[in-house]
Order: sequence, then C-alpha cells, then structure tokens
Amino acid sequence: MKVVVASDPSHLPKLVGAAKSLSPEVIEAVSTDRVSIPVDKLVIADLTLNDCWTSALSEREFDLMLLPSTRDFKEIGARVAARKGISYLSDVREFELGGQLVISRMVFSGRGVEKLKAPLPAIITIDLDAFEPISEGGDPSSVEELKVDCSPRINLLERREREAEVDLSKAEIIVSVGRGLKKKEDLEMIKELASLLGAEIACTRPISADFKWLPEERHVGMTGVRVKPRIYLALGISGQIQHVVGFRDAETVISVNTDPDAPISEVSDYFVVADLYEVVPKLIEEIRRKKAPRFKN
Amino acid sequence: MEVVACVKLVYDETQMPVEGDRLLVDQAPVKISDIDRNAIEEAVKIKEELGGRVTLAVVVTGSFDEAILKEALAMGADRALIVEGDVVKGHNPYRTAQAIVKALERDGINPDLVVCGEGSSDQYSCALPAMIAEILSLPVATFVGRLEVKEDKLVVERYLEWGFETAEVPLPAVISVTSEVNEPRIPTVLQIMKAGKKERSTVDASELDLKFPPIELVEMKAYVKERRREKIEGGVDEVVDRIVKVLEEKGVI
Ligand SMILES: Cc1cc2nc3c(=O)[nH]c(=O)nc-3n(C[C@H](O)[C@H](O)[C@H](O)COP(=O)(O)OP(=O)(O)OC[C@H]3O[C@@H](n4cnc5c(N)ncnc54)[C@H](O)[C@@H]3O)c2cc1C
Ligand SMILES: Nc1ncnc2c1ncn2[C@@H]1O[C@H](COP(=O)(O)O)[C@@H](O)[C@H]1O
Repeated sequence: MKVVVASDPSHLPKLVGAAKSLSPEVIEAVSTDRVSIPVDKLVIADLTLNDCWTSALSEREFDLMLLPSTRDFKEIGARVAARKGISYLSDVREFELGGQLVISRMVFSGRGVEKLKAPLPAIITIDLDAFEPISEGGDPSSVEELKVDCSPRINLLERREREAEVDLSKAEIIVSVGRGLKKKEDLEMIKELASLLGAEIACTRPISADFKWLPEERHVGMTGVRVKPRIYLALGISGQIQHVVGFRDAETVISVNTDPDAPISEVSDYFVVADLYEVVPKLIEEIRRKKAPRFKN
Repeated sequence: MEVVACVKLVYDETQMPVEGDRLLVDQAPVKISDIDRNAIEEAVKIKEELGGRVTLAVVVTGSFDEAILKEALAMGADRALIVEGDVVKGHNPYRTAQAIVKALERDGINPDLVVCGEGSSDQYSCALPAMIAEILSLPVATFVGRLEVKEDKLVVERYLEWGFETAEVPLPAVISVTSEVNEPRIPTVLQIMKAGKKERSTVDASELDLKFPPIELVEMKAYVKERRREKIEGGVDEVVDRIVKVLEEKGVI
C-alpha cells in the first residue's frame, strides 16, 4: 500500500495523521516547502496554480491519495482523478480499507450521512474538521526536489488574501445573528451583549456575503466555519440546514425567533419565541445587574 | 456563443422527512439544485449579451420532475439535453461528467463555455466542472463569484477560503459559479407554460459507452443530534429570566 498526501504545508499534519491510521507501507508527501513531518518521502515542488498541481499529482503512482477538502484541492483532486480515470470521493469524514475503499461523507447539506464504496486506486479529499493532526514528530526519511513542467491553461492576474481577524472554530461562547437583525447599526447592541458574555460574534451567510455587515470568516455553516462552542446563542436565525451544520456540535443551543414555527426550534435546546429587539436590551440589562457589585446600605 | 449550463434536479433537502435515523429522501419534492440557478442565470446573461444559444445539460442521476425542468428552461434557456437510464443512476461524478461530454458530442454541440454550479445541493462534491474540463482538455475556473466576458476570454474572480484570485481564462472553457455571481431570475407562469415547447433531446446513457470506476452506495442515514427542544414563551421579562438562568447553569455568567 502506498499513500500519497498532498497540500500546502499547513494541512499536512492532518493528512499524514489520516494516512497513518491505515498503516500503509509507504507514505509520500507532496508539498511546496520543506516540512518536518514523519513520512517516507517528501517531494517538494514549486506549485502555485491548480493547473500545475494537477500536472504534478497526475504523475504520481499510488493506491490512495489524500488531499484536504478545500476549494482548490477539490478542483485539483477531481481533475487528477479524471485524468487518470480512477475513483474520486470528496469531503470524507471516515474511511477504511479492505480490498475496496469505504468512506462516509455528509449529503443533503448535512441532513444525511452516506457510506460509499469504490475501488482502488482512489483519490479522496478529507473534511479537515473530522481528522486530528499527527501527534508524533519526526522528519521525512528522504526529500526530493521536483521540477514540474506545466503550461497553465489560465492566466493568473492577481491574488488578494482576506485578512482574518478571528478563528471561530475555537470560540467557547458564540452570539450569532441572522436576518432577524434589521440594520447594520443594530450590531452595536449585539457587540455589547457579546462582550458581556465574553463571546465571539458570528452570523448567517446573508449577513456576511450579501449585506457585508460582518467579515466572511464569521459566517457559520456549510460554506463557512464549523463551530463547537459551549453556548451558541442564535438571534433571528431561521435554521436552514446549510447554517445548522455549522453549529451542530455546539454543547447548548439557545435561539430567539419571533416565528414559533421556525425550523431552528428543532435544533435548539432552548427555543425562545420572542423579538430579539426586546430580548437583547433586556438581557444586557439583566447581565449587567448580575455583574454589578452589590452594596449593602 | 454556444453555452451549456449543467443542471442537476435534486430532492429538496429542506423538505426531507426524517424517521428515527432514516432519511426519507424520495419523499422530498424535486428542485433545481440551488446554485445551478445561478449557473443558468449566468449562461442566459451571456447569451443575451453576446448572442448564441443556451443548452441545459441534465443527467438524471436521481430524481426528475418535468415541471421543474420546465422552470429551468423558462429562465431563458433555448433547449435541454437530457441523459437518462439505469447506467447513470447514483452518485458518480466521473460517469456524470462523461455522460455530459459524450451526449454533447452526439448532438454535435461544441461548447464555447460550460457553466456549472460550484457544487450540487445533495452531494456538494464540486467535482463535475473539473472533470468535464479534464475530459475536454479545456481550461477551468472553479468557484467563480465575479465574471466578465471579453470576446475570446473571461476575466474571473475565484472566491476561495483564503481570499480571491483573479484570472484570465481563454475560451472555450469550463467554469463553476458561486451564489454571489448573480441574482437568478424567477420565470413567470406564462414563461414556464411556454417552456414545454422548447427543443428537447433525450439520450439513453446505454448508448454512450461510458467507462468509469464504480461507486456503490452502501448506506444512507439521517444525521441527527438530540436536543432538549424546550420552547420558552411569555413576556420579555419572563423569557429573559429563563435565558439568564440557563446561562448561569452553564457557568457563563
Ligand atoms: C449551497 C448553499 C450553501 C449555503 N451555505 C450557508 C452557510 O454556510 N451558512 C449560512 O448561514 N447560510 C448558508 N446558506 C444560506 C441558507 O440556505 C439560508 O438562506 C440562510 O442561512 C438564512 O439566513 P438567516 O437565518 O439569517 O435568514 P432567514 O432565513 O431570512 O431567517 C431570518 C429569521 O429571523 C426571524 N426574525 C425576524 N425578525 C426577528 C426579530 N425581530 N426577532 C427575532 N427573530 C426575528 C425570522 O422569523 C426568520 O426565522 C447556503 C445556501 C446554499 C444554497
Ligand atoms: N446529474 C447532473 N446533471 C447535470 N449537471 C450536474 C449533475 N451533477 C452535477 N452537475 C453540475 O455540476 C455541479 C457540481 O456538482 P457536484 O460535483 O455534484 O457538486 C452542479 O452544480 C451542476 O452544475
């Protein structure tokens, strides 16, 4: 069994961790930089464009290739699989091998989980939330520098990195807002509540993608972050499945919604039927009162 | 411009009943895969700007509903190409990609642009556009959130986890779009009624000689997480009291 893992250095620990669980004879890593990681061979190549990654990875021989389920690698993985005419499965959360590959992945925006079986050789992209990075240290047994000869099919003009101010996946307490919030200015009271609770602010996709009231990295859900806080306080959020998958691992979910039949009622521990514009100011007042030092007279 | 929009008809996951750990998939109504509406919109907009025609390519991998197909056509497409048959049933993106490419070839369609959604509402494997591009040896740009057409090329902005990438893509090409790319139009009842008359070509997949590694569905379950589901109603003082109690119990305040 030979497993090839490939990505930029940041995701290699999780990929190698996942690969080790199969105890293969050989693990080879392909990356863009020298990394200290216990694999049999590290192949370093100057790869920036998806076109070049695709060419480089199509040249490798393997039984199983593991890639991260990022947007770029989902494209690259599918392309390499098509070029080679081999199995491809994405967003894998669990996998096992026995002659064939059996994996499980989410479907229907997280409503369901399916198990699929496919023959080797195969390429899978792994759901990074479902795997732990390798715990042991160590260096590659050998290192090879690879020259990739690639003629890109597209012409890259510019890259703009988004400045991320926060990583919500680690937040303990989250106050999250949806379209129940009427205007951007009303975020002020949400910020006040969050600061009293020591919470991070999150939102649904319309709030960040459509209204741009909050940065993208604060949107929770299928296309955003997946969070697992102790408390998820959902204000004016309807509970569409694409959002719900993002906070499903929260310990306790409290939601506030004016609509007694909002779907979020099904996925809340405490479902408060009320207007957030009444609840939030009052809640701020109550918490303030509790926190204020009491004087005896 | 010969534009092809790839459209999947899926079971609507927002209306899918759950019974214990069973997901009653085929009891849900059928809809156009969400982001494929953006794909159709983009294809139609490009046709309106530059002339040409729009073909909707639909592989019946699961559900199908005539009324929903009409709705898709009514958004401004000219014709539909439908691949059906047992051979293409189930999730297998490489097989689906081949089916689309071979069916287009069979109909003598040589696309200048193939537009897909970023990912389908049921599988979201985001594989098909990449695979179609590979089979046709065409350039591909996935997750396009902004797009400009300039005669023989596209200028695209790809929306990625870490930021944005702007690139020039020479035509012919394959792209996948995200929901930010446009606002899909909603066809009128009259447009939907008329769409029944639009040109239609139906192919049985067994005629296409598809070769692919098999993918077998072993199990499908509902993903459920148990919650208390306590409903709290009453005046604002009352409900806030309850919230405060919960926050205290959990040690937050
Ligand atoms: C492919 C795809 C991927 C997606 N990915 C994501 C994702 O990752 N994350 C995400 O969030 N969405 C995602 N979406 C969008 C998702 O389907 C929903 O449209 C979105 O989550 C709804 O956001 P919302 O709850 O804020 O708005 P709405 O659905 O409009 O809900 C607003 C809620 O606020 C309530 N309300 C109104 N006024 C008040 C008030 N005064 N007090 C209290 N409650 C009030 C209403 O009753 C309603 O329930 C995705 C969609 C698609 C198609
Ligand atoms: N069965 C299908 N028929 C037509 N187009 C499809 C089909 N499956 C996927 N697509 C297209 O490919 C995109 C990505 O789908 P997927 O690879 O399933 O995530 C979709 O948004 C559609 O545009």
